[in-house]
Amino acid sequence: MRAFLGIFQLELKALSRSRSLLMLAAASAAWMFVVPRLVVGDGTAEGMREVCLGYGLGGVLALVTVSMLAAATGSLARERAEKRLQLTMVRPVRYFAIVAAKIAALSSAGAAVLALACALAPFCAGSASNHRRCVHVLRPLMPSPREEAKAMYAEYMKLPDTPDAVKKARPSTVLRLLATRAWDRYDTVRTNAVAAWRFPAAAVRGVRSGEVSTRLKFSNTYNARQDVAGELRLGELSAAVSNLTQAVLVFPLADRGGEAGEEGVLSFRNLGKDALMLRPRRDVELLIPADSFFWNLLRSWIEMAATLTLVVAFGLFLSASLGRPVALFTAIVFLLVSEMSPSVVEQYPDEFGATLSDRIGLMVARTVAEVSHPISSMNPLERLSRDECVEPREVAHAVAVNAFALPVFLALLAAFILPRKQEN
Amino acid sequence: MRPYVSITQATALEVLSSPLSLLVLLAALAMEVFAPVFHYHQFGDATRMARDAAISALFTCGAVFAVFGAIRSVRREIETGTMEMALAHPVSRSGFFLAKAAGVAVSFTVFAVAVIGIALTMFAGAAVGGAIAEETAQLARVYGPCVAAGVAAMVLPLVLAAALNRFFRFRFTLTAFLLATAIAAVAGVSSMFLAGGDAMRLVPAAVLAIAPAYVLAAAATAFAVRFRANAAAALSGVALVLMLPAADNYYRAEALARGGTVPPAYVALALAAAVPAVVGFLLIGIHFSRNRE
Amino acid sequence: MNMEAENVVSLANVSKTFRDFWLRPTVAAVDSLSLAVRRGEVFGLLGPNGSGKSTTIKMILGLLSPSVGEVRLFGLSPRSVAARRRLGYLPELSFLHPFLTAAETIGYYAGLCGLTRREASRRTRELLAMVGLESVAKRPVGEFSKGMARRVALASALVGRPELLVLDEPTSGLDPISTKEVKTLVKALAQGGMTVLTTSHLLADAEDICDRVMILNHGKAVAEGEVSSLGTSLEEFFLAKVGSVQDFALAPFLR
Repeated sequence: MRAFLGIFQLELKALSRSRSLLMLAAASAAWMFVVPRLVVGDGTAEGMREVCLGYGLGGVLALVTVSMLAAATGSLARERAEKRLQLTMVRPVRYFAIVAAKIAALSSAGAAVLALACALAPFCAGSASNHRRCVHVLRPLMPSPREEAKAMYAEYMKLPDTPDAVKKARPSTVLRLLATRAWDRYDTVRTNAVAAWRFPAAAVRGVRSGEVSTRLKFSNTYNARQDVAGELRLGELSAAVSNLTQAVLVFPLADRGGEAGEEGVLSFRNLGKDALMLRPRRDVELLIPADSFFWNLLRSWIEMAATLTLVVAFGLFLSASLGRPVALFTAIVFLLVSEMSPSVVEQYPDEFGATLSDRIGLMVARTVAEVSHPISSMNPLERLSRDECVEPREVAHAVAVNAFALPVFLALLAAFILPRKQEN
Repeated sequence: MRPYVSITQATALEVLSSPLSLLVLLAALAMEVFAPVFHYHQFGDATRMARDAAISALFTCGAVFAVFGAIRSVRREIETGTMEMALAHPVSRSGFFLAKAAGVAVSFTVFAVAVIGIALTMFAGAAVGGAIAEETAQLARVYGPCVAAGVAAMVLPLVLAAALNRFFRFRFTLTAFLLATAIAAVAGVSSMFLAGGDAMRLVPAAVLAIAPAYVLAAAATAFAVRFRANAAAALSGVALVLMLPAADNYYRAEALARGGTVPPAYVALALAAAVPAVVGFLLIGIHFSRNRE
Repeated sequence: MNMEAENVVSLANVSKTFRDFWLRPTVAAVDSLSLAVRRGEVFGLLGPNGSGKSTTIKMILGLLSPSVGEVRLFGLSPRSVAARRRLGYLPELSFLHPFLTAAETIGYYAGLCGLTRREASRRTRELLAMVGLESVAKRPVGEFSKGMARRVALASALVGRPELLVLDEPTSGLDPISTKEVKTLVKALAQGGMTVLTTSHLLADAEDICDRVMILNHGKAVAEGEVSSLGTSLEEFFLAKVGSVQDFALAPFLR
């Protein structure tokens, strides 16, 4: 433990005495105040807040990530090039402890700068009192798209309409196609018909009139918009839905009397003249009050710090085997590709019509998207700026996977490589 | 003059031999070759994609190449003491600095030749393909050989350099870099036959993207004399950000997609801005190197 | 007596060949080398440049692995933490962190050796006094002269109270007075029971401090013996084993 602490402190001293940490903190603080003022908002306090959190904190997150990645890729590689690493490696220290201490030090330094930016965030948009309570976003209880795909598979393959290309394809490819379809599946609600979606009863039990809202997302394509009318009901609470022209609308549910619905079930009766289509997995949400903006900010910080730890661990892993510039370049390219891959996969969900080269590209993009999922799936700032709760279970998952399991795995790999890098 | 030529030559070879340089070149070529192909079916505007990808690759990868090449080359001389050894010979400090800057510029020029070669190829393929066919399948027949040339410029040099390294002990990265440049240059010249000189319209636009990279190379070389690598990179980054509004003007090259070209007066204006900037940074570098303790 | 237990370092028929990317041999740095360093002795590994001394030292330290043969340190693998706990190492160049002070540097290595904060602090003070750097304990080592940095590195090597001290060219970069001090220190450490393995180009220095020497040339052991029983000076012995001195071809430069 003493050795671990020694290396941890050494790394922090290297950062602070080279003034890198100070420069990074100063640049982050300046960014928080200057950049949101350079970005043209919509003139509202709400808009300013979104700009501040999105561009301000988002910019600092990018800056800290790249800086810590640069420090991580340089850490082992530079020490090895300058022969200092061998002095540490001949001491009674496990190679794993060397890598782990460096990961801990660099991610702590980055997390501290992020904490500074988060502390400034409530003030940079003007008043700290502007911030509303955040809300839990609940979606209907349904099997996951993958589970639904598995359930549909056998039946779908027997259908006469199923194309031959699909029938000849590998099961994993077809399951992916079906999962995409399940994710996008519509419920059609005809005139005077009722659609109902079950939500976790425990989460909605005891919510008071006016506290819970329903968010419905209608098609945002202009020519597909239509006026709708209907009634939403959740237990004893209800809301009238009428004459919509916007894509996303939030309806507060209140006690307006009438017959109570089943507990935990949100129903929508279509009273308009046209049938409506809603994707339950994507378009129907319940918003339930959670805690304050500040708790949400704290959870966002933890999630960002956890992801930063993974990025640092990845940088150090590369640094164990490659020279600094090559490691840094590889890490940055990987980060960029990992950010792009999910959108590529989303753009090309169905690969049956694709050419061979597209299929190869898709396979690469999908592999990168899956490998980089722990990093690319973390996006707490988007929810923070929309007052949506960064859920504690997601934070716990981020800490367990991104700040612990994967960094430990990468540190073990780096520790395996470290003594095997034979240099004359 | 001979000592300075030697320093320039050694610097250029050092930058071109760096694995990072090869990686940046391959990344730039991949951007040029795959970005238009990838978006082809989405927008159907291959000419625009070829142009944008080429100019983006030139500008972004060029900036990385120039800045890191310059900083690594200068800092290594200082930190390993080889600069002191060179200065113990009849070489002036200013001359040493200018020779280093020239070496970085030469290596960047080699990089630019490779990137422009493939840019011309992809642009020609897109322009000719777009003119003769509307169907994707027909387009692909014209575009395919251009993509193949681009992929060849990435893969063949690696294979050949590996073979030359295995059997004749050639330096892998330097050989691969020079082979990639040669293949790209041949592909670029060949594409002019394909497009009947039409692809040459890209060159003035490319000049607009290259000019800031030379300015950055001069800035990074100057900063590296005075500051450590990280600080020099950060200052070069600031220089890049200050330059961005000007560099962004390459979008005036919109005319390219419509069959025109960038007005020569505009290219002249960009060069007229770049040349004093390069000279200014070189003077700053000379000042730093003269006063270096 | 169990000889294995008496041998602090043992190399059995060890070869080290460096290879290129294609796994072709580039340098045969060490060839079929066997040696044993006994507990409590000062063992000198001598040889001209490129003879394989540093490669041998790196294999003993676990920084390189042998291509063939076996290296044992205290009867263990050199990469085991237990073996490294009993080891101190002074490299040929000091390789210190320039932003740390002298006291912090020694304290850092004390931490790596597992000393508690209090022990580390006491040991740092002792060692700074021993190498005569108390007055500059709070100055960053990046500002030190080569000799001062060497003293800090030597103190760092001794911080964990090692049983085996590996010294790679210990007097490199030191002035004559400091060289004398280091030699006195090594002798004192050996008298205190510490085993010392040292390499040196300076045969007079090796002659002063070593009990036993091995001479390497082209990666092979060409001679081994007790310094006291060589029957001649170490320099003459060395030249006899390694080859005669060749004069530079000076004629073109003297015209």
